[in-house]
Amino acid sequence: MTAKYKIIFFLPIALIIGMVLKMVLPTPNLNDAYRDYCWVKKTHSTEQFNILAIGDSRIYKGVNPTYLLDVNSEFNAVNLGYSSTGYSKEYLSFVSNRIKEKGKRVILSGITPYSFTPEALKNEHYKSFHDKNTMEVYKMLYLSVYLKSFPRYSPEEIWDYFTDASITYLYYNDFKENGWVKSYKFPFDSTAGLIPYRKNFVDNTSDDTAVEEYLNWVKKMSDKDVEIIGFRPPSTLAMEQLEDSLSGFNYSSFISKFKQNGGVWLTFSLKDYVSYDGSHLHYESANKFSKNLGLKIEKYLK
Amino acid sequence: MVFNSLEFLFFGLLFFLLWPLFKKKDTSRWLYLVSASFLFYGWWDWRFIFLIIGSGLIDYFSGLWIEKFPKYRKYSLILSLIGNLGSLSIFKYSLFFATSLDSLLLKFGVHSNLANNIPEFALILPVGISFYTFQSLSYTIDIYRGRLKPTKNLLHFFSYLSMFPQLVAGPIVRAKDLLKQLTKVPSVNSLQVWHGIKLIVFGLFQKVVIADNLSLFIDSAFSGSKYYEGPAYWWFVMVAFAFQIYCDFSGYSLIARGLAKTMGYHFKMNFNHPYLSSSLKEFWGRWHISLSTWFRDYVYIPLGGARRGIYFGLLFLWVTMLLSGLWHGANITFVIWGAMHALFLTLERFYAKVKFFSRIPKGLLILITFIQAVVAWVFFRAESFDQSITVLKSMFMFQSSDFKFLTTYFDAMIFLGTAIIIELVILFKRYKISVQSVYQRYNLDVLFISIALVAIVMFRGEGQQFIYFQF
Repeated sequence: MTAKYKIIFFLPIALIIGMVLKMVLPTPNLNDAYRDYCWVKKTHSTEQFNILAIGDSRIYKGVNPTYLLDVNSEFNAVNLGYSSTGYSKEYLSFVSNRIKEKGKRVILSGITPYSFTPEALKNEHYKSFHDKNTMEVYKMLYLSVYLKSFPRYSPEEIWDYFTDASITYLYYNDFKENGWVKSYKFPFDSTAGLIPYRKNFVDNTSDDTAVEEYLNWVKKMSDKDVEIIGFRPPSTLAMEQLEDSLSGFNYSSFISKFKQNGGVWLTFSLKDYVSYDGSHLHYESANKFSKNLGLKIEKYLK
Repeated sequence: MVFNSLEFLFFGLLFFLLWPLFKKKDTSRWLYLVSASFLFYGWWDWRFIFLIIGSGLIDYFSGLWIEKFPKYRKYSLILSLIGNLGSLSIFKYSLFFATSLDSLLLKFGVHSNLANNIPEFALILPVGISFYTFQSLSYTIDIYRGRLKPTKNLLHFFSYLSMFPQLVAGPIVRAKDLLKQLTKVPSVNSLQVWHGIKLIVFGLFQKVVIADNLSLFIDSAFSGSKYYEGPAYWWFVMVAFAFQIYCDFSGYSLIARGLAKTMGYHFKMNFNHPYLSSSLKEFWGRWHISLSTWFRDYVYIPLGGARRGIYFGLLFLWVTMLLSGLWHGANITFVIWGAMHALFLTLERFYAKVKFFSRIPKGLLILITFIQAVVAWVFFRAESFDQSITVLKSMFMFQSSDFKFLTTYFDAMIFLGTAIIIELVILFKRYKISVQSVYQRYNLDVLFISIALVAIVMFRGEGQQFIYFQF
C-alpha cells in the first residue's frame, strides 16, 4: 500500500474501530467533558429563572429542577449549588442576577451550618469556574460540549463489565444541564460523611457576620417580591446532631430571624429520604425530595 | 497553547490549510511562520513574546557583528551570552540563588532576605525559556566558531528561533540544521506526510494515553497522602514515573517532529528508546538527544572532553552533568539528579575496564541501566531533598509490601503495562528482522496508527500540561 492510500485509509479504519468499540464497551460512569460544560454553563450563563435552588453539594445533588416543575410547569428552574458553598456577598450577588426581574419568583435556599463558616465563604468551587478567562469559558461552552459524545473509558470499568466482577466500590455522578447531579455511592455508608465533617468544623465555626449579611439579603430580596424559601437539606440524624454540636450555628434563632426578614421556612422529615454517605441524597431520594419541594412551593408561584 | 488541546487542533488545521499559500516565497513563508509561532506562544502569555524578541534581537545582531567586526568577535559573543544567560538567570534562577544565598549568609548570622525582594515579574517562569535560549546561543557560538554564516534577514532568523513545533519544549534545533532548510521552498510528498502523521499520532498516544493516565498514581504518591507504603509500592511509583516523563517528553518531541515533517522540514530524533540502553553512556545518547549533544558540543568538549586524560575527563563530565541538572530546574534536587548520573557514569568508566563486566548478558545490562535511571529519577520527581531520601529509604528497605494499590490504581497499572510492552516489542523488533518484514508486508502501521488514534480519543487521561514546559 502506498503512503497516499495509507493517509486515505487510516481515518476510516479508526472510525470503524471506534464505532465497534463504542457498541461493545459499557458506557463510562463519568463524562468529564460534559461535567465541565455543565459547571461552566451554570456559572457563566446569563439566563434568568423563576425558581432557583441555591446552596452546597446537598443542594446540587438533592434538588432536581425537573421534579420541581412537575406541578409548576409554566415556570423554569435551575440548580445553582456548588461544593461547600458559603453564602458570601459574591455568591449572593451571583444568585440575585439569575432570578427573573418580574413575575413569580422563588429562591430555594438550602441552609447548612457549614455554609456560614469562613472556609465555606471562600467559595473555592464556585470561584474555580467563575474565575476562568473568557477564552476558557468559550472553549468549554462551545467546543468541549462536543466531547460529551466521546467520553473517556476506564480499563477497570471494562474489566469489571466483561469479567462480571462484583463491584466493590462505585461513586456515580451524572451531571445534568439543569445543575442537578444524579449521584450515589456503592457501598452505602451513612456514616462516611461524619469524619470529614468533624474535621471541617475544627477552628471553622459559623460566622455571625456572614449570617447577618445573608439575612439582610433575604430582606432585600423579599422586598423585591422574591420568595425566599429556606430549609435544612435532609441528610441523617447523626449528621444533624454533629453539625448542631460542632458548628456554633443556632437553627432556632436563625429560623426566627429568617422569618422576620420575610423568608419562609420549610421542614422535611429525615426518614423519608436516604443518604448514601450521611450527607448527600441518593438520586431516587433526591427526586422524591424535589417533588415534595415542588408541591410545597406551588402556592408561592400562584 | 499545548499540542493536546482543542485550541491547537483548530490552530493546526488553520495553519496547514493556509501553509501552501504562504510557503512559496521566502518573505511570506517566514512572516507566516513567525506570526503563527508568536500566536502559539502568546496564547500562554503574550507579554513574554517580547522576551523572545529581545533575546533574539541580541543574538541576531551579535551574529552579524561577529562576522562584520572579526577583531571584536569575542565581545559580540559575550553580549549574546549575557543576553541569554542573563534572562535565564533572572527568570529561572533568581529565586534559587537568592534563597541559597540567604541561607548561606544566615549561617554567618546575616539576615539578608534577598528572596523576598525579588521583583514579582521575575518569579514567573516563561514557558520554554531554557529551550529557546539554548537554541539561540548555539546560533551565535556556531558563528563565532566559524561553523555558520549569520543570516542577514531578521524574519529568517526569527522563523528559526520561534518555529512553533519546537519553541516551548524542544527539540533544541541547531541553526546549522534548520536555517538552511528554511531558505528553501519546502516540498512534501505523501510519504513524508504519512511519516509526519505517524509521528504526531504516536506522540499524542504517548502523552495523552500513557503519561496522562499515569499522573494520578504518581501525583498521589508524592502528595504525601501515605495511603500506601512499602518497597513494592515505591518501585511501582518510580517505574511509572520513569515512563510518565519519558512518554510525556518523547511524545512532545514526536509531535514537534511530525508537525515539522508535515510542513516539509526535518528535525533530528530526540528520543531513541532510552530505556533499552545497556549502559548509561548509551542512555544519554538516546535520552533528550538534542540537549545532551548541546551540552557535549558547547560545554563538555570545549572544557577539554576526554582529551586531557581520565581524571580531567571525569571532572568535565561532572561539571556537564551538574549543569544539565541545573538546566532542568532551579532546585538542589535537580542538581543531585545530575550528580547521580555523573556518579553512575564515573563508575561505568571504571567497570568498562574490568573483563568480568563485559560478560554480563545484554538483557541484564539493560535492566541494571534502567534501575540506575529509576533511582536517579527519585531526585528529579520529589518535591524536596527530604522527600527524596524518604522515598529512597522506602525503596531499599526490606519490609513487607501491601499490594492493594494494584487494584486501587488498576487503570494506571494497565497503562504502565502497555508502555512496557511497547518498549519490549521495539526491543524484539530490533533483533528479529522477520517481525520487521511482516510489519511492512502487511502494512501494520496503518492498523497501529488507527488503533492509537482510537485510544487517544477513548482512553485519554485528564488533560495535563507537558512536564517539560516547566523547564
